[in-house]
Amino acid sequence: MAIGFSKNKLLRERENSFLSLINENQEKLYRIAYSYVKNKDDALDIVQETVYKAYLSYHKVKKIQYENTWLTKILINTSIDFIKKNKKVVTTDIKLIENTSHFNNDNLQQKVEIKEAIDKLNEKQKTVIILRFYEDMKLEEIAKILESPVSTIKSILYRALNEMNINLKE
Amino acid sequence: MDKNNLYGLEKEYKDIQIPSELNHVVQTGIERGRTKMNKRSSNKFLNICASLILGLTLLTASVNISPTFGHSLENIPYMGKLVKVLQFNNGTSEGGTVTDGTDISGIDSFEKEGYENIVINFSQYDMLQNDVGAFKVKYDENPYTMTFEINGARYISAEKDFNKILENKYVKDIYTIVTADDSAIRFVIEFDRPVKYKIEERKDPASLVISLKEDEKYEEKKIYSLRTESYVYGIFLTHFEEKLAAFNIETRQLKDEDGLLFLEIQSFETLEEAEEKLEELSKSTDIEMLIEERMGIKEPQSYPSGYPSE
Repeated sequence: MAIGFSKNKLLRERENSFLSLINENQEKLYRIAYSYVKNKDDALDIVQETVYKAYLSYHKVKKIQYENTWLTKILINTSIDFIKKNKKVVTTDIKLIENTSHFNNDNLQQKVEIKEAIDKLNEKQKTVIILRFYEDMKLEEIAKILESPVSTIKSILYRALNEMNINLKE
Repeated sequence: MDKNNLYGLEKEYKDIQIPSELNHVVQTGIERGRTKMNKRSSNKFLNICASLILGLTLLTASVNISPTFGHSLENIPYMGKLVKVLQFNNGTSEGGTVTDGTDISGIDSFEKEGYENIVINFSQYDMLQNDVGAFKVKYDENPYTMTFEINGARYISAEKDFNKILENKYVKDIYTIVTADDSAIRFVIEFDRPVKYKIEERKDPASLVISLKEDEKYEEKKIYSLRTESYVYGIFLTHFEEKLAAFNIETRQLKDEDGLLFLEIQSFETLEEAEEKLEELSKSTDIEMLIEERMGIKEPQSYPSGYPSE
């Protein structure tokens, strides 16, 4: 039976595989964006811009096994651009911590301190912390996303942790 | 600072609430991409436009002069232009525009390129409708169902074609469910296995195209379903739905093993969670509830309420 699809098979397959990629990752994209900007509206703007950019350049992805890495990279760059352009001072939302807390109140202060320490990191350090401890990615994966050697990612991570210690001691 | 504290943040991060607008925002991003891509290719389009017009002229001529070719087009399901591919968030999605007096007039099933497809058409005053009415769709597991709610729909003449849908490789059952205020028509498609799904909303004419494939990698999970007893008439369930709406619970109507209807209030991964919810709701409602353990396509058991009495 004939079916009224308008695009040729190749384009349609590419479109379908892009939509599946976005479907599978949209919540992850939102969470990472939210971790940068700490508010819903800005995080949604970043996700939309990421999806738009990804749609335009999806045909450039040569190996399907790297498409998650590629998409995460676009999101991170978009998030960092967004923060730079808007020059926003992003602060930790205490209410959010209280609402989503899985710890008792004794830990609340410590958690606020950790989050404030993360906010003070530079964008690259923050990215490594988010991907490593929030997204639970391996250093090798982070290295691929940031297009840097694993050794560089390690040193960014240790420097970040070190700075967080200093900040916490202040 | 203890580094282990950072690992504790992961759970909290996973609990960041996903806003309901996310689907819409993602869809807008895709639409912007499509528009931009179309502009990029418009120059190429102009170059080949002349040859297309020529081809179209020849096609029109052949349809007009050839009864055989003209007749063959009647077998093509009414599938309009793509409006969007639905993005699902926790199994839920929505689309369409506000309409009224809609008839869900056609439903058909066909296989294409490894996908089993279901196409649904909509009419008004016996004319195919341009836009799909505002609708919601939800995919649930244990058993695997897709529940459609078409707002502004008053009739479902497609019900006479439900048998065609049962020929679909993955469809186990399809049935309508009662809506309390007649503002919408709802129906459930039940699958005989876990499926991967894609739904396209199309316009001119209005159609929904559901593409299905077996989800071979899906691992079935046992659940504890907090549910009502079974009823002959779905209208009883709409009363329960109204009562439970106050608790912000998304319920679903299902058929049990004997074809009676019941309301699944919520499903849980553990018995403890289900019991906790049962106790919580028992304090605030008079609905008779029970907990049922189920897995995969196992048919829900029948617990007839005995109401209405014979």
